[in-house]
Amino acid sequence: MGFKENALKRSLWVFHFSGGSCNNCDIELLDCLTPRYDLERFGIELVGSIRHADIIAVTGIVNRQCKPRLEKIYKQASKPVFVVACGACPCTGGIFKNSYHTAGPLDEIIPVDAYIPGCPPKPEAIISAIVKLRNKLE
Amino acid sequence: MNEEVINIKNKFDNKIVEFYEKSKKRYYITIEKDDLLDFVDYIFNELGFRYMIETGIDTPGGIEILYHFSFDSRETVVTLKTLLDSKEPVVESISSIVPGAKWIEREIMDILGVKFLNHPNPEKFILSDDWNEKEYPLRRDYDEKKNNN
Amino acid sequence: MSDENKNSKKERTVIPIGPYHPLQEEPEYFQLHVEGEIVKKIEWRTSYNHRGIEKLSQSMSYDQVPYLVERICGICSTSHPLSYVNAVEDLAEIEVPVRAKYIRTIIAELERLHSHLLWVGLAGHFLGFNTVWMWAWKYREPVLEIMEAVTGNRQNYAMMKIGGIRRDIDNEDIPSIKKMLDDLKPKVDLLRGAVMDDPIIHARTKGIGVLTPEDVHNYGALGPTARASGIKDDIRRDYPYAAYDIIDWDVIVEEEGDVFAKAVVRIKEMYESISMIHQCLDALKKENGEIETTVKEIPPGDGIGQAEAPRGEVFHFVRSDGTNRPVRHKVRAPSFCNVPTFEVTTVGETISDAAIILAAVDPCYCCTERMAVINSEGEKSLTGDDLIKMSQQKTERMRKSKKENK
Repeated sequence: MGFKENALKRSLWVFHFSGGSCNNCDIELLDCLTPRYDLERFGIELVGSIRHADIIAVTGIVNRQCKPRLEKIYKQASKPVFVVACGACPCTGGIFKNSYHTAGPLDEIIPVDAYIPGCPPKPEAIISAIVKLRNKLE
Repeated sequence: MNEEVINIKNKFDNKIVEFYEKSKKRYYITIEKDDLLDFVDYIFNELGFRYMIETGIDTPGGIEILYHFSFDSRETVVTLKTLLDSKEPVVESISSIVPGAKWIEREIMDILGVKFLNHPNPEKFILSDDWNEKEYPLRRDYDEKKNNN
Repeated sequence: MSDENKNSKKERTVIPIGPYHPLQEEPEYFQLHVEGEIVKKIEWRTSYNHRGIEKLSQSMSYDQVPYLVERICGICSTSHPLSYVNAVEDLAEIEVPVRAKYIRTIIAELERLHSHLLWVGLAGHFLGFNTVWMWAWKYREPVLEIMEAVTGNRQNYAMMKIGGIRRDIDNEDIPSIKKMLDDLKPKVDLLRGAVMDDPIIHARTKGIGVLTPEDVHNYGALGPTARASGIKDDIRRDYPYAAYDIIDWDVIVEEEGDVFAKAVVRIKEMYESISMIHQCLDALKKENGEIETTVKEIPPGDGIGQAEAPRGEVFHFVRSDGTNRPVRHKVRAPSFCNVPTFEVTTVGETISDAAIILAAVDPCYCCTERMAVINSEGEKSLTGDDLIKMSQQKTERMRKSKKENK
């Protein structure tokens, strides 16, 4: 394990990118931080700037308006960075797969490290995904 | 039929192309597009109906624009219906009377290519920056495959 | 930029908010044009959330559309299907069994509860009261748990169906739901105290972002936003659907039209919701009938459906040509009418108040858009989250000066 990966193992900071979602995954992601689930116990928190982030959590189908912005944000991220597809939409396109305004699925735009299926995924599922990502580093 | 609807009927007796009572709560009034502002002004300002929204539909006979107005205390929805030519759909913007209509008219402009005359801010609204001009997703002749780039 | 524009905007600062802003869950892009501290103009660009749902709906059968429309918005995920089934039932003149009506009401009111709790939390956060945020979201969890027990999912409940509902509520579950509601009531009291008795919140929200009844009419503002301005306008009473005309409840109205009034309306509505759910649950015990009527085919015609979502009226228009798919399905979410009121409510206020005014209508961009870059040359630009910071700093300042005065 290199120095960078070792550093990444500690407190994972998450940048949340909503690429045309229905709000559900976003709310559940935020829910993970509130007292019931409290991800901040483990040093995981949402950050405002992509340059501070270790994880990009993408929700929504990533529509044509969001795609160039997502690519830009991904380029700005300090590497290594994990990309998590949160919910059915970024994983496969979900129910909006055939829409004229979609540019996704996510893995055709940027490389993805973890997929969280579900519409929306429960907070437990999101936590489990982050734990799995963390363990992948060992 | 309640008082407000009778008022509309009496006031614009000769201008109503077709009057259809779907049920006691739903009235559809077909009008010519040149009379639109008169109708909207009377219904919205004088009778005090609440402006709900506009719907644009591409039908084989042309593009239909529906203006939905609601009179909440009487449980009545009055819909004005006007038909535009599909080749060159142009209609007067009602946003000078109803400020809340600005957004939906921009949306209809995007998805159906209807031109609203005298709209204060006729810019792109809901489609992406890279969207092809002259491609209207809710038109009947819209080709999904052609536009998927 | 033309010369004339350049001159007139000489001392204007443009504050871009978004599209990806740390404190918004959804992408949207606002520009606040400010002179000194005063907001002079507000513009916005949408499309970040547009998914083309109206078009997708035309490729689905009538029975599949509810699954699509509940994914318009995660928070109003019952209001949209409910409004859609109301539209189709209006079109085809279908009568819904009484038990289904009660269950529809229960689900819709549970949704209102969780949505208002969510809003109270976010509003607290915008003002710099993070404790309120954590409380509200914590007490929102039991509501979601009940939803999961009843419908199988925390969100996107898939309960609505043309002619009835998809799943019945087991009468044995009723006591546990009632217990949850009883437990929730003191928590709502707590939040009401936290918001309504706090002098700082009064100072920050009273008289701020006033929406006049004339502007409510002009912009067609809806729901709590309109009711806070003294407009007694509630779809549940005006166009009764589900069981709202059978049960007993009040329309909550406040007169002031400011941010505080909007908060008060939402908090008081939570009590009404709790009472409504109790009444429906009691009625369910006696009303053991069918939960759906069989719907054979949808005749050609137009149908209009409305439902009162937590943010205001949801409007659906469905046109049928007699086949098994809608020819046109128009969706109008409440935020589509509420958000343009920013034009009148934020202009003339200070930037530190803009955040809470924007938040006060409970904007829901994914609903609005179901369906930028500015040339800031020569103009000073502030970074995105300065705005929220300013709002929180203002509260902090007030808190301190309050202490000093004591």
